[in-house]
Amino acid sequence: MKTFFLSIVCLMCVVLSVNAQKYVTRTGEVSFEASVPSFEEVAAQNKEVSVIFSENGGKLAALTFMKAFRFKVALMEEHFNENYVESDTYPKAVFKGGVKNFTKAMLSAEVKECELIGDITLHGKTKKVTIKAQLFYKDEVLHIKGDFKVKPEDFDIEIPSVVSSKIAEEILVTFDFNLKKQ
Amino acid sequence: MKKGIVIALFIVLCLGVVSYLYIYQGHRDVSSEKPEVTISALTLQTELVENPDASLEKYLDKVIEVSGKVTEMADSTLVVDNSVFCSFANLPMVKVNDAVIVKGRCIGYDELFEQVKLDQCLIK
Repeated sequence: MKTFFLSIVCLMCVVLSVNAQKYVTRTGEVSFEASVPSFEEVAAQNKEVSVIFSENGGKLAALTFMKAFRFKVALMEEHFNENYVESDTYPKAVFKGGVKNFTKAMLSAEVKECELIGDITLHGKTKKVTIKAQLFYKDEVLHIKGDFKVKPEDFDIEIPSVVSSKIAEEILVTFDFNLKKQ
Repeated sequence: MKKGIVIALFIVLCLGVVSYLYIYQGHRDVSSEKPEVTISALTLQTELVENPDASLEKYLDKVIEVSGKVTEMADSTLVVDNSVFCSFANLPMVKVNDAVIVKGRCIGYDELFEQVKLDQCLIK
């Protein structure tokens, strides 16, 4: 009898662990745009973002390497790394949070609006964010994309007054993650 | 007088060219850089896990060569010894289980996947 219960418990554990499905990518995309009309484009793209989404509780973690942001102008990339985000000291930006009110039923081919709630840590500062996003699941790939705005001062990034007119006050961040079922 | 104007124009032109070249200098070319260090994929991972601060300083943004076996391939990326993730501009011509030496730029340690990340990679 004891072994019978034990095997049921074991079976339940197996079922639960199978249920806690994960979706991952190491090549997610994050880009930002801080251009001001009639000035040089201030934009960069990063295609090396690591993201893990866990079906259990709808948790999402994304890790972005600051050094992997590529600009059109090499000098801008250098200034971004050295003077603004100080990527030698703070090499990554992290989002930790989850999809609000996530249910397994949301994993369908139909595009659904959702909210990501969590913390962004960048340049040594952490900020709570609520991000509108779209989500759909097709051919074993979970697509999550959206955009949001941040301000440099939210993360203690100082923009010198000489260039402040050439950099937008609000920076538009766009993300696009295609997570494969693991 | 005329000579003065010509010289002034010439100086302005020179300054213009120099500042243009400075502002629009080329991107770093990882493929032409000499690697600072050649290391096995597993050793690199161990170093970054055990001593993150010192080894980040040593490897971050540096061009390095990593050796090991290809354990995973997808699109234009591959993983060496399950410990170093490398992304390429073009699909690398190797197969899983091939012994490789990959040259690339270290962009950091990925705690989510417990792998070191290299970008702008080339197969040696």
